[in-house]
Amino acid sequence: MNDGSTDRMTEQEFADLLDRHGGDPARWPSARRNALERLLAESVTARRAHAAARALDGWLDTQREHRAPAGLAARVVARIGNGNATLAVDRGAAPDTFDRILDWLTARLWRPVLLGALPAIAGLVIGLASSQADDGNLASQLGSLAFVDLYAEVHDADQP
Amino acid sequence: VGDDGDDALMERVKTRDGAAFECLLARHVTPIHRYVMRLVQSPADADELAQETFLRVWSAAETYRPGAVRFTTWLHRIAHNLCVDRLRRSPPDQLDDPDALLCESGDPERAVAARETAARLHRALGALPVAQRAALLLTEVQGLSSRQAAEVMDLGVRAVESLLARARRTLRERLERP
Repeated sequence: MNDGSTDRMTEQEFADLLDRHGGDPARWPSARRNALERLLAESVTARRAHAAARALDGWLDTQREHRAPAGLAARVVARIGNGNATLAVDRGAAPDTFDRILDWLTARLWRPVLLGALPAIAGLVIGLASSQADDGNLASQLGSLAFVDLYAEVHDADQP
Repeated sequence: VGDDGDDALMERVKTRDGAAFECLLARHVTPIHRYVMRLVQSPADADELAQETFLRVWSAAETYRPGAVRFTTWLHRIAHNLCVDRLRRSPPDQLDDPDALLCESGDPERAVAARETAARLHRALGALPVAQRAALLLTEVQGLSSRQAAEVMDLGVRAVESLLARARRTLRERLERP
């Protein structure tokens, strides 16, 4: 790196640095600042270029004044509340474990699988239900038979 | 909520905290609207693009990595990419009314002068290539460093400085003309 006391700069280099960094000395590269300031003190052309750069800075400063349109933030919030765009979660609540599991189960890949399995599940439920009903009938029949035997014993004992 | 830093607010936005999001929105809506307005040069498009930028902040919050990049850089990158896409799909046929880009001033004389200045600068900025305009706006108007502007535009710092140099030279020449 050049020492600030010996560093020299041409007017063309000066103009180039002004184009890159603007007219504010605070934004000039610290390694070249001494050379920039020395040339500025010595050269009328450099001072003219610097004045033009400062004028441009001033013009650009006017672009900073701005006010967002009224209601812009409210429109963003409303769109989020409506679940617009790619938003899928209601505001203010993190999805709980049940929601995550449900999301996973209902993900695109699982939907056809679940739909295809529905008749099989229905068949299983019906089969189990009818099996339980049959079990009930058998118990009832056995109970009846036991009662018939008892009835026969009592009936025979009553016979003269 | 108001005193939290952007990163802390974003951590809360990731858990779908609406209040944290609204705080970020209030903090950044004006600078982002200003950037998209100056870049696309259309108030109607700017409104929509600014909205879209913040909707993406909400929907893509999980992708934000604190420490890897500053929040303002990440936010500007979203806005910038949306604007570039829009300009690529439908370049403006003519620039919108520059008066619409002005903030109203209470002083009539100042307002007239400001309007004249804004109109000239608006035309000069609008005539710049998009990349030059973006580099200039990001550094001079939005207050980002050259490095941050490079991250926003997905370019190297030297490339951004080169864009800045060409943009300033062109603008200065145009504005110095009577």
